[in-house]
Amino acid sequence: MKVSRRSPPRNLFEIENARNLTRDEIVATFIPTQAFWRLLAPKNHIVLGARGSGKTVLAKMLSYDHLSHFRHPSIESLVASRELMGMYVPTSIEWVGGLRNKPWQSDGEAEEFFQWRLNVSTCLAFLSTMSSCLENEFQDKSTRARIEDSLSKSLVTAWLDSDFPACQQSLCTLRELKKHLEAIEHRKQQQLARQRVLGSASPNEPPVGLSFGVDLFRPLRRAISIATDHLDLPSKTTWLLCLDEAEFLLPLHHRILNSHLRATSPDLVFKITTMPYFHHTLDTNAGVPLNVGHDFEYVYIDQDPITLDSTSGEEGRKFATDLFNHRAKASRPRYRGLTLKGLLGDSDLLDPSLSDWGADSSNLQLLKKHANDKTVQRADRLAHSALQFRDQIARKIHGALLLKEAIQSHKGHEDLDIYSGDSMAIRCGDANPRRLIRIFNSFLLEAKRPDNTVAKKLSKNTQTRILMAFSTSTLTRIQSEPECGTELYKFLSVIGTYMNRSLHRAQLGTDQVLSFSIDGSISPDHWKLIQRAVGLGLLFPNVSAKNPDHMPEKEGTFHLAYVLSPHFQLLPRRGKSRSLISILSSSDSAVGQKGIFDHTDEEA
Amino acid sequence: MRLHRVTDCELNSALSEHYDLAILASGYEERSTFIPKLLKKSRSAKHVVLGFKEVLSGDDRSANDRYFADHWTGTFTTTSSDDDRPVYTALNALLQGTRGVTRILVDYSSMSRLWYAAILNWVRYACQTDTAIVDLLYAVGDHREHASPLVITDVSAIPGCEGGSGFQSQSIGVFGLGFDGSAALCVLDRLEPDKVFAYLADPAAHDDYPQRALTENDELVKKHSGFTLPLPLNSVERTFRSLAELILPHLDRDEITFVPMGPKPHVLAAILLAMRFQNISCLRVSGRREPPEQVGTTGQVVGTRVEFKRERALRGLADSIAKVSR
Repeated sequence: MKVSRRSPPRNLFEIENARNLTRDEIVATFIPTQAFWRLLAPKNHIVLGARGSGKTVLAKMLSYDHLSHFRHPSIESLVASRELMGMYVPTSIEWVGGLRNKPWQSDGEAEEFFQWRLNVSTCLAFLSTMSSCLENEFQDKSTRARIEDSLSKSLVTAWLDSDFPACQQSLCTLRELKKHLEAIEHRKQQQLARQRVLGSASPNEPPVGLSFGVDLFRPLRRAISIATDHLDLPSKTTWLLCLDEAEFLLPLHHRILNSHLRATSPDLVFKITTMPYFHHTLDTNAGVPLNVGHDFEYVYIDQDPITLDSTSGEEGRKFATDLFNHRAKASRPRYRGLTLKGLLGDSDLLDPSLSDWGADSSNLQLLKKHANDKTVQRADRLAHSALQFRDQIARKIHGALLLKEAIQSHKGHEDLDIYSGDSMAIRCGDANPRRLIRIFNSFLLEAKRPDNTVAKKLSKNTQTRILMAFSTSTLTRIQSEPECGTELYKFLSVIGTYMNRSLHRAQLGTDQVLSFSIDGSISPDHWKLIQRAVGLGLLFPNVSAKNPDHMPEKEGTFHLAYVLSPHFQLLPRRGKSRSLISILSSSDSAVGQKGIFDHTDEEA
Repeated sequence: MRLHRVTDCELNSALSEHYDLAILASGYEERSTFIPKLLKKSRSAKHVVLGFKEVLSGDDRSANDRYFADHWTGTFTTTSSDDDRPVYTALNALLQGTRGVTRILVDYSSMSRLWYAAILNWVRYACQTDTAIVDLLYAVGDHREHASPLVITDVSAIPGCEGGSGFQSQSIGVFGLGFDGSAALCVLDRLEPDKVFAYLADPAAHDDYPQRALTENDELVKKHSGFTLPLPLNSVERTFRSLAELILPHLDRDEITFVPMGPKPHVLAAILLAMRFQNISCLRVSGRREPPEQVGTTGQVVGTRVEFKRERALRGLADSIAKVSR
């Protein structure tokens, strides 16, 4: 893997988002996951992942520009065979903002403009892919220039001839063509603004960019055909169109895209990333909805770090430590010799020593102090069998006992040190790369000394303070989330508060309530909040290992994101579940069910 | 027409001018009538009062509506803060046939940003004269109480400020800081720019406001922003110029998005920059607050004169300068 040597390496812990990383930085820090290998297949996929789960990295890594720089034997042979040519198209909020600011458009006009704009964007993405491909495949500059010239001219003929017959002579490079398409896009926006002001189109002004006002992806398909001839690509080449951040698009846009997923030809397949529950519809314009499994497959990339560790041999821990190590290495020499374990040490809560459960041990004293009668009696019964006692009592209750004792004996939480250790940091990251990097960066900022060196170890109190602040900030910042920020904040607060009270105000059993279950009777408002929380990575469905891509619909069990555990003083585990209805209706909750939705809408 | 010049304008100068049209707004804020009460009706040939459709009840709104009904004859249009059509309809009808220089007075203290952007867009695309002068007045808001968090309802580009295609090498987010720190973070999470610059009003309406804005936006400032630029609230001219200098090195190669969350004169400066430069977009973050924030005024007024010229007039100007220099 190569990292650019032209400028000093940046501190990659300060850059948590893939969009902010250069190609070389993404490639150097990329950790291929199972989802990545699945996505390399020539099939339509819709990638579902909470915010920060790594969707953009996946989409970017599938593009030719990135894939061709990734040093891995399978990938190198795939690139050399030219079997896959990936293009990356962000449908970011700035991009969608230019669609959403025209509420006066009829459905037909909105559809037409979306298609026009996506046609231009996919052609721009195609040009970037071609530039990268020419640079990678043709070392001889004169050959490269000759092919680029003929390719550019053919593309001008295909895309622009009807608008600008004179262009063919002037646009000889892909870069010039890209600039020209960008100018067309700007002029189109200006023309629409002018029409809005005047109330109608001026009869003397022809529509801008007529060649792109055709069926969606037709200009792209034409370009693919031209490139296949000019670059002598094999007929088996599959083009991957990676549309990132589709959560910002409207249902209307998804319906249009779905139509192409249904009718796609084998040489062009789609990889669309969006948040869970933000593939807005399965409808198509063909009157027949998409068939999951046939027309496309979902790939759900959020992972529970506990399940990952237990089913795949510490894969969650490995992913997080690899993430830390790759970033530290690429940010050289700042963090030379620094390890996550060295910086943070062990976690009292999550890496407990289970050996000391003798008759006079402090663990047994805690059990007698905090456990309920039933659990104490059961512990007595199992005391003769060390193995059974460990599996059925100690393993399950040890963390909860330590946490309960720590909270009770630390009024004010100034000296609390229980949320510490590398296992705790990893667990609170929820296997979400952006969250993990933010946590790591918070620790590293604290570890930074005035002389710019980094302390090799952070105290447990400091770690706890950082994790608690991070946890609280993660929850409070959702209050402004579109449409339902306040309600979502209250909803999660009610659930977290309930779990906190069941842990800290009642005697303990071996399982703590850390999940909730729902069934078909759930109200539409609550279901909407759950969907949004899953999208933001603040709730996770307890998906089964057998069917990991299935997103539950108005049923199932969900757990609070582990990042919220320090804020609510909970154990970062799934625990046992309680029905949502009983949680919301509990008189013990700080805010009742009614309180979540008692607002009036007003425009600011 | 092209944006030609942005200058500060004294209140007294605006009060003594004659205008073809005055555009005012009746909202739920007490300050809606502060500037109209200073104006002389006779100095503008025609008047339009825009009223918010969203908030029709409430003591302040009723009092404001009564004031406009009693003191300002002319067109009174009630419309949604999300709808700019009535603005265009009024301007097309009332300013048709204007000769010489078109002069418009706007009190944007209580206006939706879509409305005052629409007025500027009308001048860009529909004004028939060679020169247009828009004087924008703003009664400085008094946000003494901490308001509840703003819940975002939509993030979209201000019409006419859509920027480029989003395929530049890197993206830059320029955040105008206000008192809604969590809303700014929420937009930042969605925008995910490569680089973040921030600016805030300093000097502001009150001495403690800059620190309050910094505190509210602590995470954005400390963890994301390269630096925070203090810009005066009372000078759109200086704000416009300083922001232009800030983004100048990035203009040709980066995608620049303004997210103005601070006071309206700073929003106006961002809109004007997006109207001036092709690859700058300006986002409108709309939301709801419960209850709506009651904003009074400090009594200060910020005046801005925005001059537009038709391209041929600009060419003529350039020719004249060339002749003089010869």
